Amino acid sequence: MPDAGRFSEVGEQGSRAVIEAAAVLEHELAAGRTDATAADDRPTGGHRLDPEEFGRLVQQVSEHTHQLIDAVAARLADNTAAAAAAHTRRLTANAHDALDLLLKLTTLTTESPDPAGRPGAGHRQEHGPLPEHGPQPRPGQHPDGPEGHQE
Amino acid sequence: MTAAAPPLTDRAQLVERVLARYGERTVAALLRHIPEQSPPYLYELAADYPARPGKGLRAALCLAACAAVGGRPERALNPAVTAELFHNAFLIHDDIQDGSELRRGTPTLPAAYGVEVALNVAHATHLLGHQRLMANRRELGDELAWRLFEETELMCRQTLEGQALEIAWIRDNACALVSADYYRMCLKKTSWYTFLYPCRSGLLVAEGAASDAARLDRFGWYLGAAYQIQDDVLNLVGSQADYGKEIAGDLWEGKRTLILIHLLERCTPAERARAERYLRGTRAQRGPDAAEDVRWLLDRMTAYGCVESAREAAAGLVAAAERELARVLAAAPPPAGLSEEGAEAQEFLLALPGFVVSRGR
Repeated sequence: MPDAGRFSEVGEQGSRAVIEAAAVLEHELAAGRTDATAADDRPTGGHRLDPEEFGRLVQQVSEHTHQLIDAVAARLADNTAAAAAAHTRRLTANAHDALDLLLKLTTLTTESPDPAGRPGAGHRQEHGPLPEHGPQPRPGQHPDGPEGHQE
Repeated sequence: MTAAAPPLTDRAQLVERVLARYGERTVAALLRHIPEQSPPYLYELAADYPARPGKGLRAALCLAACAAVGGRPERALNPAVTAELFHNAFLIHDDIQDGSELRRGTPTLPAAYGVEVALNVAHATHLLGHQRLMANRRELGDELAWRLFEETELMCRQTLEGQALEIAWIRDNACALVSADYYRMCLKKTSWYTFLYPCRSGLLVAEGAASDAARLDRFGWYLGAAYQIQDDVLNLVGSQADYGKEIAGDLWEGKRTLILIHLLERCTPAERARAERYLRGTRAQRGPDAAEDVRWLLDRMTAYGCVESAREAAAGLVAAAERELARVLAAAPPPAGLSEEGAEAQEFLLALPGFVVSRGR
């Protein structure tokens, strides 16, 4: 051997190997436990809704549907007698309320943050107890939509 | 457990016998699940490596771990086949990446059919492994099938990460590695899928999804490290007829073995500079003229006692594996309380560490 004195520890290689190997395994198992915890968390995190994005979607659905109800109601009102027109207005108001309620329930089940903080909050109060999902009025538009349908 | 250990030859014979029996059972089941109708160069070649003479170590560990704690090994046959299929898929990938010429004594798939065919066969072999995992649901139930799937995902991840480490070391010409780096690579690249995963699978099948399936991890890891080090030694000083692979292939490929790490730690600065120059290139870049450098490296490894110290490390790890196994089996049903196959499985596991370091292939 070129320099026997430099590796006189050869006799210790066995125990040194075990110590090093044990440390490597413990490290890898600990890392695996951390990964497993992170993996368990991922599905929940991955399915959690972005509150802002959800708010935007709710507002868009709300706006479009309220407009649709108003348009249908206006068309009906044009072609009916006075008594029937009043009945149509009540049904229209109920339809708006039902839509607001439905959207509110959706918000509750997805555990979005306080919807009062979202754009559009406070709109359509006259249509029922849960007004926060009403559409944002466009500039120059009446808060109740293009046709107006106050009761 | 307290009886005097039988002589090594008897124990080696026991290991060979059990390996042969479990191997035969597993290969037969594996081949049964390979589709008979095959596009050219696909499924029939997926049967090539499994049908070559091999140790069948992974399947045997899975079946023996199951039987040794009182489980029914026939229920573990599907997980044992899964372990062998993933193993064979890894082997094909390995042969492609390493440009290896021989596997179990005959030309590798890429050498015989080209990389494009070999790669496709490796993917098909993986697919067959996934099919076996799916079959677990029917045979072992949803919960256990899912646990086995999780273990398989972890095993694949560990293996890929280990392979990535080794590739990166060669690609980046890493020369400042220490033995702990080697052990980490070894745990991930080879030992997890060869030892930890089969043992965990066997325990899960025997005891159910709630089993403490990691309790043979230390046994498997120490045995795996010893096995890999022994493989590295055989690669340098083994007989090609017994070893079945190219002798000194690791040096040709620049693999960072424990032996090479020891050499780089022990040699003179001038020798180290020469070794680093050699390691800088790929096998293709070095060409056949590198034979002289390979001989020189091998000579230096012998002169500095690197092969001998690797053997000693393997021996220390084997002793640690035996201690770990004794600890685990002390809490398992005693041989008298097991079936004949269960008692033999315990004997097999106890004899395996000694067999690993005395093997020629």
